[in-house]
Amino acid sequence: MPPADHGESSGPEPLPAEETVELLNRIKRGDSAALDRLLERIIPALRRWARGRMPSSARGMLETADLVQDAVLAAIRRLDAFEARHQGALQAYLRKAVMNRIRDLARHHKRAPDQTDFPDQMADDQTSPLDHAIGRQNIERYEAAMQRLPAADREAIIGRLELQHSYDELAVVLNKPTAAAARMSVTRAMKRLAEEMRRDVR
Amino acid sequence: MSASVIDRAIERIADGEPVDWPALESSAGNDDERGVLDALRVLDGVAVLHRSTDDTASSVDETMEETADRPAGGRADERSDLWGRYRLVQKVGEGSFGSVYRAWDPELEREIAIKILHRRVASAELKRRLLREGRALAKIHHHNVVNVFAVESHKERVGLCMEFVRGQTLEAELRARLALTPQEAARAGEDVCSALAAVHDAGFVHRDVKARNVMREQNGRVVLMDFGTGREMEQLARGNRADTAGTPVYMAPEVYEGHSATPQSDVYSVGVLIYHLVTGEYPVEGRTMDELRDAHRGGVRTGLGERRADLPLKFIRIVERALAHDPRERYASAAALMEALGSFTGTRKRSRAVVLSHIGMWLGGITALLLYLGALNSLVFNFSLGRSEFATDNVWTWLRWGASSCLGPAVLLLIAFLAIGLVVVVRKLLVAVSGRVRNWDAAARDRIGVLARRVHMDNVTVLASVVLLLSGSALLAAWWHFAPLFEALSTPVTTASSEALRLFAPGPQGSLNEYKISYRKTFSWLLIVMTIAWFLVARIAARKRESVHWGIVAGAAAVLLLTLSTLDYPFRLLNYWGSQFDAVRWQENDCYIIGERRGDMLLFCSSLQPSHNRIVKDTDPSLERTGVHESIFTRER
Repeated sequence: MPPADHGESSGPEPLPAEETVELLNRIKRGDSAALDRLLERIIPALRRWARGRMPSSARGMLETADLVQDAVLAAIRRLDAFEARHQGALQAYLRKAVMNRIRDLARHHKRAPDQTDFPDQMADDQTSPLDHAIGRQNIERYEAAMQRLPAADREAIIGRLELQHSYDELAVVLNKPTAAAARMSVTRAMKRLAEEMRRDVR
Repeated sequence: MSASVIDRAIERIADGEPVDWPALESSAGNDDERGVLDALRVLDGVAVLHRSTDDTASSVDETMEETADRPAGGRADERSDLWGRYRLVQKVGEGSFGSVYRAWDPELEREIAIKILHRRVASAELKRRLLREGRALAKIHHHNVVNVFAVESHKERVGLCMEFVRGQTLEAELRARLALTPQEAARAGEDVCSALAAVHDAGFVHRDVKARNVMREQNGRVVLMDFGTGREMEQLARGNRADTAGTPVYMAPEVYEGHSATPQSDVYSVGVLIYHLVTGEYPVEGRTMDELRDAHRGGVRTGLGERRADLPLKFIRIVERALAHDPRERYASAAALMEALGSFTGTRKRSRAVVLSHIGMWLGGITALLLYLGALNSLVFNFSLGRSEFATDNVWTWLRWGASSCLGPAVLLLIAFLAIGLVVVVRKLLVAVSGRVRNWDAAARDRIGVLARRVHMDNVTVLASVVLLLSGSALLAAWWHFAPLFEALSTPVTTASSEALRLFAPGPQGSLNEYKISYRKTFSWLLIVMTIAWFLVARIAARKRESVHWGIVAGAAAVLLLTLSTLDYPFRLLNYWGSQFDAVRWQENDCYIIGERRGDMLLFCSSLQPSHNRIVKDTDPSLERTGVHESIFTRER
């Protein structure tokens, strides 16, 4: 049985596909209210997601917020080159933009050892909470196996485990008719991912 | 492979429940299963990490959220930042353009909240918005509005320093309790209305009243927050149609149609807030803005009574009125809604302004009606007697004659309502003490209900239309019946024949006296019956939570006013006291002084022809006062 989290939400509900497309079209036409609305709906989840990946050296309360905001706004400026079919696609696109920004940040910190008198600590500061939680090797296994999964499975896993969407919200993102169907997609995808990761160990 | 062990682990990870890994691993049957469990343990690590980062910033609005009362310190991986002189202790809310932090002001040694815009997105417009919020809040000093201390800029960021409100949002409270009681919701609504009344008085509309923007402190104080979308009414009146803002499910229907936000649209949002607090749902629902707009246009909404039939009727009526589609049908102000909620909770916070405006409205309305009636019957009287130029009528004269003409019908109306009240009380008494009467009463009500349904009178619009048709027809019939009197009244007294004048004389049978009595009776009763009928229609409409079409209301008002005017306009002419003047003898004629003006006198002498009026000097030696004061028609008997 799905847990009773249907009414729960850690933030505003995700936008259904038709509204995502409508908002993107309005943003392309320069509608700032549409941009506000899209950011309001999309950024909090991305920020939660990014926190796990930010290097310790750049995880001040103000910095995380700025990095995600900058990355998303820059990505949205390039929207002409992107056609969102649904919010899941847009989120994946924006996640990639945020991840690139995090990698740039990490590279920048590595290139600038003179910023600190404690180079050892500096090296430690490049680890993210995810590194601490499951280890670098497991992150690589996880990410490699994810790349081998179909896109729909990846979205289901990221949406539930990383973005912490409720099943109701996930149903909107994955375009599923019900929360139960979204849950089913998540558990199936997790099973396939675990199988992929097991094979990787061999 | 044991599918159940793997499936169980997957389900628990997916559902965010703790997994007993040692127990699962010990039940693994082979290496493959252990390999899958090992991979799932990694996934669990990913999920747990993101859940923990989620917990520290579950709020997404630009407001302080339910986490506001969490102990200081925050997460281990978030450093204590400095912003200007303030030490940011913990993030308590987060939005797309900024975050709210709990902070420490070392100079004043106090805890504050700071809303800081993110650095590079702090565009000129956003900075203006934050400044606007600061200015709006700085103008408002109210117990239920968050206090603002300063707007500052440090490290390329602009921030709004304000009072740190320790408590939880109504949304968080609702999530924890599923639904508030109507009393609690109404009290919270009263406080929000009180805050909004101050906001509106300061010339602002809030535009984003919602459960997430209302905090309840531990001591019970309710605080309205987040004025980021607020606007000055003057600015809105200048009309930027594209400048819509707010939370879609809380937005008033007219805002969807591109109209500017007004105090009435804030009143609508308070209605949605209260509805949400007692149901956990919203009156109009949809997944997109277009769906919500269509629902508003099509009138697709779920009434509060449909979701919670157990709620008190009075409470439902108040919320439904606040949620009326047409802004004109909502409470006229937040203060008026607060008063209505107060009458439900029993705390009735009547603001002085509301009390005064109510008293003023009633006094103004009654005075205007009396003035109209007094002016009408005086004008008719003066015109008919040809004394318009000699009349010294003023506002007080009109008020006196207006009040005199209304006194009789008003007393009759009071008696009629008293009789109805007595009947209701007796019925309730009998129903309460006698089972047999109760059965009869129930049967009668059923029968009336069936009959009403059969003739479609259960539909308020049909009922009101029928009442309008009947009252209009009754008025027309009465006019037709009294046509001869209208003809007599339309002839100026100044040139009327002796026979016509005799009609006005008090006394003998066959005179207008008879007519006078039946005329007044007829129109008085017509007015009383109509008033009672419309009172009942209004009661039925309120009970059924339906509104009567404005066209029918306008028709009803017109029929009532016409009836009242018909009753009133000959009042002074036909009233014995109205036509009393000093009797004189002038050149062998019996006359009356019906007007005086700068040494001139206007005499009415029925024996003179063709006009009965003469203007004479008050020094005229042939003028002889008789000392009699009587109706000018007395001698026409």
